[in-house]
Amino acid sequence: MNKKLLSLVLISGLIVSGVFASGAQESGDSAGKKVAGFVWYNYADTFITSARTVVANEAVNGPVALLSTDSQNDIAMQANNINALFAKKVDYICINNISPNDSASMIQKAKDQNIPILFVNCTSPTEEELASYDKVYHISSAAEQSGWIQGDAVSEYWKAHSDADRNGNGKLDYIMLVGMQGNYDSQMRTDKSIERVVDNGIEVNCLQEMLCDWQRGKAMNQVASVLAANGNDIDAIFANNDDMALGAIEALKASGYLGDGPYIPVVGVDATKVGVQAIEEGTLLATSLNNPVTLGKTIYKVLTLLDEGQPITDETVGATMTGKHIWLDYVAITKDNIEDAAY
Amino acid sequence: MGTPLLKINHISKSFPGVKALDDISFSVEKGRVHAVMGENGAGKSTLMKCIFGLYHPDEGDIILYGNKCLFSNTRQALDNGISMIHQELQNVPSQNVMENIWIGRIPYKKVISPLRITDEDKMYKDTLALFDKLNLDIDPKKAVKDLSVSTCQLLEIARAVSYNAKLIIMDEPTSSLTDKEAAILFSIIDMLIKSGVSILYISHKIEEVMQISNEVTILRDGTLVGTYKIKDIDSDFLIRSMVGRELTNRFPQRPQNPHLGDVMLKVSHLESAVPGSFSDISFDVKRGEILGIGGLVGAQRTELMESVFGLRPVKNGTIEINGEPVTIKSSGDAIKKKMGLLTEERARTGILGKLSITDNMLVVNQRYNLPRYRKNLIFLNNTLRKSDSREYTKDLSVKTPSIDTQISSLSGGNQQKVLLGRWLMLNPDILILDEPTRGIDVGAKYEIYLIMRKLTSQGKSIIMISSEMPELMGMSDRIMVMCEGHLSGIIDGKTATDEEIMKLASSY
Amino acid sequence: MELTQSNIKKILMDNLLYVVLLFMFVILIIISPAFLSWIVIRDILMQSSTRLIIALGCMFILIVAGADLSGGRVVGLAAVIAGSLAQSSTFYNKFFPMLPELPVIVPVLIAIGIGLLAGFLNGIIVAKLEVNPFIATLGIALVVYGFNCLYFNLPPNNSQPLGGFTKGFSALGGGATLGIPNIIIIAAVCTIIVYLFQRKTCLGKELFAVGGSKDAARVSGINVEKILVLAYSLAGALYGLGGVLEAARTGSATSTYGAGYEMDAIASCVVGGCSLMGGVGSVPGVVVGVLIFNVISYGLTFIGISSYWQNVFKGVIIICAVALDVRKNRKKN
Repeated sequence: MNKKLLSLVLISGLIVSGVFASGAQESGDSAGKKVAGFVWYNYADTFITSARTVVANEAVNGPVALLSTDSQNDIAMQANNINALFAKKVDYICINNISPNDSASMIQKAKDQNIPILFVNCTSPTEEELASYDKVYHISSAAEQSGWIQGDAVSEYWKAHSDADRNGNGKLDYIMLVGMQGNYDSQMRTDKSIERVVDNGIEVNCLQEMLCDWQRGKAMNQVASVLAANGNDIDAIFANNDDMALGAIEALKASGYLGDGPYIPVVGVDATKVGVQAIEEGTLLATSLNNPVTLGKTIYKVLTLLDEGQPITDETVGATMTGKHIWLDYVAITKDNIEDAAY
Repeated sequence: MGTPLLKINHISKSFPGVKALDDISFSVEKGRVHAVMGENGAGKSTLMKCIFGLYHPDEGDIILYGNKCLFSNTRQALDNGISMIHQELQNVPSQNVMENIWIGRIPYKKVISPLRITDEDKMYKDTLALFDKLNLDIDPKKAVKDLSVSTCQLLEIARAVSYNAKLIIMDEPTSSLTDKEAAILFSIIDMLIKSGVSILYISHKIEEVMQISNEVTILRDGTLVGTYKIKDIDSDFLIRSMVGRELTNRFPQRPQNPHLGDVMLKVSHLESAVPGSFSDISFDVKRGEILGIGGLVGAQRTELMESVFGLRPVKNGTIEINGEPVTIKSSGDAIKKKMGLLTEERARTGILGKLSITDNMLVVNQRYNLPRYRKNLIFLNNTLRKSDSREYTKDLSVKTPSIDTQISSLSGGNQQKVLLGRWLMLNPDILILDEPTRGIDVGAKYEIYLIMRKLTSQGKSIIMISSEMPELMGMSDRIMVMCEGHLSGIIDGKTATDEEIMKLASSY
Repeated sequence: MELTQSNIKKILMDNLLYVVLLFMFVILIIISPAFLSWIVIRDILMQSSTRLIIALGCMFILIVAGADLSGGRVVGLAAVIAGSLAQSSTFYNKFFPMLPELPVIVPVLIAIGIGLLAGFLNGIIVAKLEVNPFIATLGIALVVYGFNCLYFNLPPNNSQPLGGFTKGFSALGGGATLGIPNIIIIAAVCTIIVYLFQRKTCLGKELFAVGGSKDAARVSGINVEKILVLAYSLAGALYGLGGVLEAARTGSATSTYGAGYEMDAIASCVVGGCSLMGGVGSVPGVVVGVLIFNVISYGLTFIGISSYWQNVFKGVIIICAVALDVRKNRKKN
């Protein structure tokens, strides 16, 4: 008897919390409005959560209601979510796509139901795929920009400081903290940052490339080890995101670098609040902001225009367009423009 | 007689640190029951495993129908006409009876070669024919998990027969059978030997061996004591040969003037909360008394005593200890009332297999006698724990290299002594012993009987569940007999007879 | 005892874990002599500290023949909760803008309490509702992670990584006392307490009894349900402390903290001699198990081997350790 009661209490507790949780899924008064289905790649992602919140806030007074789903960084889950939304006959579909290989079939499904489809903050479908249907758009920041900003910041530091070459070998010896193998952003940041340094006429030498799963703790552990092994050779640390960059900074501090000790430039991406604070303190050299507010607002703007039947152009959206691509710029954040990081 | 069916020729087998078999030779004639006896650890099972291809002997030959043969796996043994009934059940519980019988050789129909499907009809008919021959009444399509343990054992026997073997090895086949089912087994054996099959029969039960076998080979500590014709020997000779010393009696003498005190435990109208278990059971036990509980498998004796001990829920009835009504809702309550329970299934509910002898012995006392073992507010006094453990290990003559030895590496008898020590430490007033000597060799049995007598002479009460008639009659002051959850009668232990107990045990 | 060949083999087999650890150290020193330094040893011990505390929790669970998939998520929740309560008043992006600076002990105790609560729930579900521990703890892992994300996403934080911890809180992870990093001292104290609890107290002994055989323990008058709940609760409290230290050490916390730590903890315990069947497990074994994994990940990075190889090595070690252990036990019986 006791056990039954206990199960009942637990289950009802879960249901109550579930009701609260699912309340967050639908935003905007859906009565009479058209509905846009969203497939976000991962609610746990800081950036996605910010953008999602912005879209939801816009929807409160906007003409289009939302139905959001979480793919939990799982391709199978994403496919399920997409199918569910199509089955629900939403009026617009926005996909924060994990797997670029599937975009053709998604476009085909949208075409079958004759609804507009938006690919947001992800790899673009191919030009051929974009051309296959008139109501498909791609809204994203150009991932390579975040790499370029890192490359430029480190190049600038290298050229301005004669002691930047710490072991005097004439090459920029760096370590690269990789977020996730096979991830598009991770790949672009890793490649484009170094490409830009080389384009700026600096010889480079990769000391070590380490997989840290976007995590601060892992980056800290691994960098501590590299510092103990060949700390005197390191000229710069590139990290695919701010969390890993800050992990590297913790390891540097623990080993007597930064502050009063020798300086090693560290660069990240995201401009998180703690990242910006590190820039203020002078421990992080540069980061870049892919503004989730701009992303969220732009997505909702496009939905509004579609709903009102207006054309999608540079002027109406308020962003750079090439064909069906709507590009949002990364903003470089350094000590000189911290205020730009606020959104 | 001609060539013997099986000849064991100077077999030796060593394991790291032990010589399990040392130069064993004997032969088994066609159409005879040849018993192999010995205490636990004498090497019986090792020898059988050598014959059946599970072990390779280091030296010596096994000669079958005059040909040397050494099987490297059981399949070869089966193909050459040797099958074995193992001590542990080998069933696949999720499958049905007939699939279990024909496991590994289920008949097939070819649909299109190589596609085959099982031939259910043929399997069903074959099974019925087999059961018919053996006089068994089991539904071939019933799932094995729904059968009782003893029926499973009969199933094992049927499977061994189904291989059309010339020699069947039976390793303690009656250990989980009731007397009635054992009788079925004996009639099967009778039928088999008449058709020329030979049986190698391993058993602890002396009466059984005397009753059914023609010859007996006795092993002791891995060596051969001798092979004898049953008609030339008696049971005392068997025991002497196995133990290697004189045992004047199998049971200690009853005290001359047993002094029974007041009633220690009184159980009135106890009814289980589980439907179909026991109901309306009333009995009492006096100080210094051994109350035996007899009955067949399914009589609910274990369920009754576990309920008294607080392990199973009770719906109605009262329990009084020393005249005071008590409420026992858990084993902890029972222990606080100075009761102890040595359970039937030693491996499952008795030993803590991965722990040492000390940890096994102290597990009850360190909690229920905590002040004694407390060094300070938090920690236990490990030195005292060990010295207590050492004392009981010595008193109970547990054979072990050290008190830190893992209990699972001891023989069954020594494990049982450690478990007995666990309860003796608590100095209980009432000790419930559920099949205390099952699977234990003759020497260790006698030691356990002695301990029981010593306890009663100190005014303790003992309740002993036993399925062995001689044990019940040899030890109990009174015998309570149960049948299918009912109390069928309480009789005087000194004057009780087999027939009287059997009659009561099957009275419902 | 004479040092015959078989004796040496036996000594090596009995102390296999220590031999493996020593062997790895020697190999790394041969490849790179700089590996033999106080800094390296200090780094490895510091990185092992939080993992050790989590693994000790996991050990309790394995001893009672349970399983715990919620460990990592509980670590994450504790890290975020401790972090949100340990921010200095000058930090501009505070989780609770109006909250005054609290003494260090407050966030630490609250986080440990939350861990304990999660563990307690695991225990109740396993012991009283008799749900299979894999399923129970998988469920709790999801619930804990979900609540963590909800909490982390509360405005004004909106899922921003937490930072700006008070000096006192950061000192738990980064500071040192008498030249020894505080985090190592905390881990060492925990280890000793757990060791004494396990070896010298009645409850500690009863954990082993329950893990060895629940039925036999029940017959012996042990309250099996109580012991199970105790094991899960203790584990939860240790996860909570692990989360606190992970936040203090890295100077930050996010809802993804601790992801996958439960598997590392189980692996360390198993390599350290715990049995998944219950009833077996020792503190020194778990310590060495944790050290082996941390020496691998630190050492391979140190000598410049790609991090992809680390997983290969770890996987091979887990399998070898368990395979050898099976053989060792078989010989004993």
